Amino acid sequence: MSEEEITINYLVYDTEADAIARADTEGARRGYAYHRVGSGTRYHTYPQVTADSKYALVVDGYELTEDEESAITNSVTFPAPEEV
Amino acid sequence: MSSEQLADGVNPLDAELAATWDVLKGYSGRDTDLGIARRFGGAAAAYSLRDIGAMNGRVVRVRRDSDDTEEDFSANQVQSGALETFVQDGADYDITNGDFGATFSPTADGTFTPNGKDGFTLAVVSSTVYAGIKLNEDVTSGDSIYVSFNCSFDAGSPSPKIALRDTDSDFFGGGTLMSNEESVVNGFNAFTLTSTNSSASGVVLSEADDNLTYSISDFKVSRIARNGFVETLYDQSGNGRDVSQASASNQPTIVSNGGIYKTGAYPSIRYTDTSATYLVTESYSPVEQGGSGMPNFTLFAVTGIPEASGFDSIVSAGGSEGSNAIGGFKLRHLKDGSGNIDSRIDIAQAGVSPHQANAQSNNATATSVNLITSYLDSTDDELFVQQSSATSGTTTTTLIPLSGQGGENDNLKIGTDMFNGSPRASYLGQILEVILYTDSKKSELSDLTNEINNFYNI
Repeated sequence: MSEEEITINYLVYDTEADAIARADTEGARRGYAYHRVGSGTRYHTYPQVTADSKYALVVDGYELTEDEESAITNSVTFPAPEEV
Repeated sequence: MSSEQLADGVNPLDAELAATWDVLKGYSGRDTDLGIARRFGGAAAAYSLRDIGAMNGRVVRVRRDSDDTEEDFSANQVQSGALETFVQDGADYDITNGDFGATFSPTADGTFTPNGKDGFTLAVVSSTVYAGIKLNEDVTSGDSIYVSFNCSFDAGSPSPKIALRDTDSDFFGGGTLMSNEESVVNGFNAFTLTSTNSSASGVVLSEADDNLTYSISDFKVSRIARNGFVETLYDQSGNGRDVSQASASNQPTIVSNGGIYKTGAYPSIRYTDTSATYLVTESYSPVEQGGSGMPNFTLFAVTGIPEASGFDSIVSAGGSEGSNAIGGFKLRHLKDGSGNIDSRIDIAQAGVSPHQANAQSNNATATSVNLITSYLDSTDDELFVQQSSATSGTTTTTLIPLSGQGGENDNLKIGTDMFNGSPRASYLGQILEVILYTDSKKSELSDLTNEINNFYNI
């Protein structure tokens, strides 16, 4: 039996600030504690830097605009570790 | 003279302060009530679900998934079930009909001892045994129920499986499976059982092997999933170096399907590598930024049995690159093919590559709760699992300070290490406690480890 492939949806931003701002908006929409009482959970997901120095945000579960829906990508390359 | 003696005998203020707390808060002891995190010279940072320095204060902040409300809990509240109750918000955990029962097939060859709705103990000599509990309503095909419980493999080699079955026509008999069937593990279990037949009327554990004993306890079942996640572990050293996680998808789990994670008998927190769950200080790193090097340290970590076959980071600060260019350390372990624990402390050292100059492996036998200990001073370093020492190293090279990646890369973290802003080697398993001293406790190691081992019965 083959393993089911999990698809992850990303939005990719040029700047970290833009990616964090989008994450913040989703956190506010969900009513996380930070947005209600000023401390605690703030984001649903948080962006990570990609191999080409952009910022990928996992948007599974996000409420997306039509423009964002069309901008989703399932393939992002992250920096390769050199660790042993 | 040890710092323990110093606290007790030389510094009268400490002793008197402890006595004052006794009066105000009803504690029964003197300075030992300060907890391990505030003694032995005081830890630099200390995190646990038990009270090791919080003095009945908060130890953890939890987000529940029902409405994303967050609340602080003391160690007593964690232990008493108040945290579970908070997370169970709005879900009905009283959906069973009667107590646990069992059927032996083909003949009764063993003993079944129910404990009401909470669980049971089953000793099998030579039978297939179905043990379970009826639900107050059948589970419609396509609907799910959410169960959690602790299982103890007491004797032999138990291999119980759990599923929904029709318990009306054949009370716990080997009727047709009516959901996914899941393998039960020794320890905490949480499953989602999705009905495939609207006659599914009970939760049943089946056991086909012989000459074994296992026990189920803290059994919880609901038609609504309820989970709790750690937003903050509070620093019990008194230094305010809390570790937290602002991103919900990266928060480790403390309650799953209404039940609190347990390692052995002790509440614990589960970290998952696929979600890169971790907790990190806002700005504190025990490793120098620039400067002359990394300070001496003594590090204690209490974990369950590691679940990954590759090295995972239990606690780290700074980098983890093979080039050693970014400094830092990470304490790691894995479960090898024989079920033993291989542990490692990786410390950046000049002139040594890769970043594991102090790599040590000691293949210790895993127990349900495990203590990993490491210390470093100007002449020596050593790594232990339980109280079994790995090969001792000799520190003769210059330890590398941080080179300024900054932010979470450098900060003290539990559950992962990080490079270039991305979690890596994230932990898979349960971590109960981390205590860090920024000096060598070589001379007091026995006292410290004995105190931890005595509490966790290691």
